Amino acid sequence: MSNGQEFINNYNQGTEYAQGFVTDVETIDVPKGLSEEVVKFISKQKKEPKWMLEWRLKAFERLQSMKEPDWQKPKYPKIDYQDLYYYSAPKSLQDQPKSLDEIDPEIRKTYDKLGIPLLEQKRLSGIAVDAVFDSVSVATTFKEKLGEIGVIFCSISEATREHPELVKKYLGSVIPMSDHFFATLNSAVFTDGSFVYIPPGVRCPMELSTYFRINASNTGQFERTLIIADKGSYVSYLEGCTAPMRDENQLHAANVELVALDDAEIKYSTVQNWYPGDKDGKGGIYNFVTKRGACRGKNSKISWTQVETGSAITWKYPSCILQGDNSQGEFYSVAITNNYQKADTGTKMIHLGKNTRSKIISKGISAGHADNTYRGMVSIHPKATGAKNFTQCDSLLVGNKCGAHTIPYIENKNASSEIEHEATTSKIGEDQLFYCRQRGLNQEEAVSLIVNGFCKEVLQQLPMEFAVEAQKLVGISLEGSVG
Amino acid sequence: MENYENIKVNFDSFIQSLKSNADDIEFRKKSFNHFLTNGFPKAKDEEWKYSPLTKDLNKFLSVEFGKSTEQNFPEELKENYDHYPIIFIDGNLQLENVQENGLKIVKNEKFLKSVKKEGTNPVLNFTNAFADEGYLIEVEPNTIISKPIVVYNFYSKNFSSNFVSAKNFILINESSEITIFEKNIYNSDQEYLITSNTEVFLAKNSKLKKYNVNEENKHSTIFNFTKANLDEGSELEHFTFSKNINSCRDETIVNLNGKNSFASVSGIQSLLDNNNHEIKLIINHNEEFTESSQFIKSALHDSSTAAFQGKIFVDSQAQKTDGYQLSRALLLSDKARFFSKPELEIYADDVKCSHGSSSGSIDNESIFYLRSRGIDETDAKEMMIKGFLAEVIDKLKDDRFKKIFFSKLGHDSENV
Repeated sequence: MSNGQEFINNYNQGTEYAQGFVTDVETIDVPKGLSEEVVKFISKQKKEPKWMLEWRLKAFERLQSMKEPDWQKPKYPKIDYQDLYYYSAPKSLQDQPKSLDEIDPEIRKTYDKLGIPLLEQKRLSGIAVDAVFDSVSVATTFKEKLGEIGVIFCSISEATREHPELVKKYLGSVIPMSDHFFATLNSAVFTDGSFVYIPPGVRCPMELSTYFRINASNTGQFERTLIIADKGSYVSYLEGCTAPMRDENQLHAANVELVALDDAEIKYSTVQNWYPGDKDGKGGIYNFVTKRGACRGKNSKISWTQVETGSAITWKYPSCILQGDNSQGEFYSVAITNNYQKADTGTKMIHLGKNTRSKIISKGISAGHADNTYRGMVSIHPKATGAKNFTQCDSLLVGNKCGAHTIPYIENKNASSEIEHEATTSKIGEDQLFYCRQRGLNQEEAVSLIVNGFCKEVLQQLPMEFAVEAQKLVGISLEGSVG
Repeated sequence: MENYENIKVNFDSFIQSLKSNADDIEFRKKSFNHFLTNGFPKAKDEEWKYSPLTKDLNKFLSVEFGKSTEQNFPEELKENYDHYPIIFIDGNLQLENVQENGLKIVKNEKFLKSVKKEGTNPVLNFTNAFADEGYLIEVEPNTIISKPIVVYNFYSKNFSSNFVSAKNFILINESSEITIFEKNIYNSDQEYLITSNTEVFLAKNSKLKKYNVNEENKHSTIFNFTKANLDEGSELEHFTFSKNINSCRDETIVNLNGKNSFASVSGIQSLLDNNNHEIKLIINHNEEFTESSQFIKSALHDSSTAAFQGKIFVDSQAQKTDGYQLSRALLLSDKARFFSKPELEIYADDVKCSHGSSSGSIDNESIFYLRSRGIDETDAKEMMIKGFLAEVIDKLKDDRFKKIFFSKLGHDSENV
């Protein structure tokens, strides 16, 4: 057998999950199950105003008549929504910590292992962290500094209390409450998440960042993130996700809404490294996330960058609704699946305004027994004269037990628009490997180098701190896997 | 839910009129029941997402079979070169005697009564339940048929019912070759539902060129289904020329079952008015060293809509496979629409597969170039459109039919 074959065999062995540990923190849980009482309980715990509770209850009511979608490629065993916990908050947070020193040492340790710069922040002063630990904001840093220039960066529950006019105006305006099953579920039971508001003309001086983490077993995480960039403003937002090792599948159904007004720009970057299940496909996170951005204003821009290496099933389509004239949408994605992981991800670019532009670059890498699907839509509406889209989806296959699929929907309803779509599927060339090995790299280093090269276009889009982590993740995800 | 009571009555009386064996009747009943479970396809069915048929099939909630008084096919409509004709007049097959060694053209008795499998495609099941006419072409091993076969589907003025359905069978044995040209001629303004199911088998090292022309029909709803199975070393060239067609879905499934088999499926859509034409292609690479190519071009005038749904499937066995797919569309009016869903589903790693899809308007710079050389705008546009579509024809292997298609396009073949 060739060297390559041997490598393929090695590749499929998989690596252990470095972030698989459980923090032992007391948590308050509501009784299992989904009911009106649970929705009320969550709202009460969050000390939410009445209108927020009413909004949640309305969503809950809608949910009763909705069905879980089943058109996606990765199938999963039926989720028993009555068997999940919908709220759990670290107990020591009953009294919100006033400073970093007040944070539960156990939680601090967890973050240290993950390398979140909560402690490092004084040195790495470029990042403000809003760390979400099982649903409640652990600490929001740099808030004051941001406050000076008018930037609001806080947890969404705080925002419902402190800035109700903004939340009322924008919550659910991009992802309507009854958009689809998981979005509605989130609307009813969302626990926490980040809220960002950038006032007109302000360029946010630092990268805003949230680290999500699922801790308690059997707790669905339902974050809600809302980012509003007012006229002429700019913000770059980072989201990173890791979760400890668990055998039961955990559901994660977040909603992320972005709103960009005239001349505003939002850059949203995600590195998702949740527990993908073990080598035999047991356990792992179900990552069913709804992310949508609306370019409401003229000349606005929304850019999604995602590196998806974790989760048993990733099912999400960060999308852009290009309403404003001359607005732009971008989507850069790397999705790596190994072992029994499954990903069904892509984007939707809905062109409504004149001269709108969109660009989609998607790189899918599939190894082991994994399935990787790009599913996307480009829709140019009759009024979107002069619209342009360019889409490129490349897939890389490692081994012959995995799958790579491309399912684009292209709808052109305007004669003055241009749509281009390209997709390729290939494997890591023997000659490329040979070249790298000849120069003294071992097989794994060579694969990591080649795959990183394959993803370069996307990784380049990430802010520096993330790019380094993402490059490492690309290597780690494919370790012991193939060639 | 639509009311299918009338169709049920139609089906029952059709079954009673059949002089057929019990197996055949049972198959038809199964197919029909399968059809009834979901009825005609809806726009929300993923497989029929962009199909015009989801709207137009509902005009046929009562069907009546090919009742016609027409007996004669006008000689002047025949092609002016030497060929073997197969003629359907209003859905009824008329065969001429064929005197060539190794070629058999008969009424498709055997195949009509032999298929035992019903699938999930509702319109195909509908076709299988009703189809009672069709040809069978068989080429014996090691035979190269010199003359092309021309299939005429003729619809006369004397055709009073609204439904025609055929089931055809083409078997090319080892190392044989044949060219089949199928054309539809509409002499009637009535609304018809026309469905067909053609099954093709290509044995080792055989070759089939199958060309279809479907043009000038403003009234009918058409569903053409072709399934081709290719053995080792065999080659299929399938081309469809659609022009000014009211409502049509051309569905083709190719199974590359043998090593080194090759399939090229291409098409042109030239649509006007409210035309709505959909091409659905699935190419299954089931074996190593197989190759396929899909190439579709569409020119969309007025309020026409074109849809292309192409898929390349590569089995985990099918290493060293090449799959290529390209669909391009020109939108020539603000009301024209183009929908495309070019899919790849790949389970083998040592493959080269790519697809491309683009749509847009005519390049203004090219028009400017032509105009600066004294060609007026209308002619310049015409020229661009013809040149755009001609590229698909240019890739065909049969010189005679290349010329025929070029002239249909109004394109000067000498200058290509």
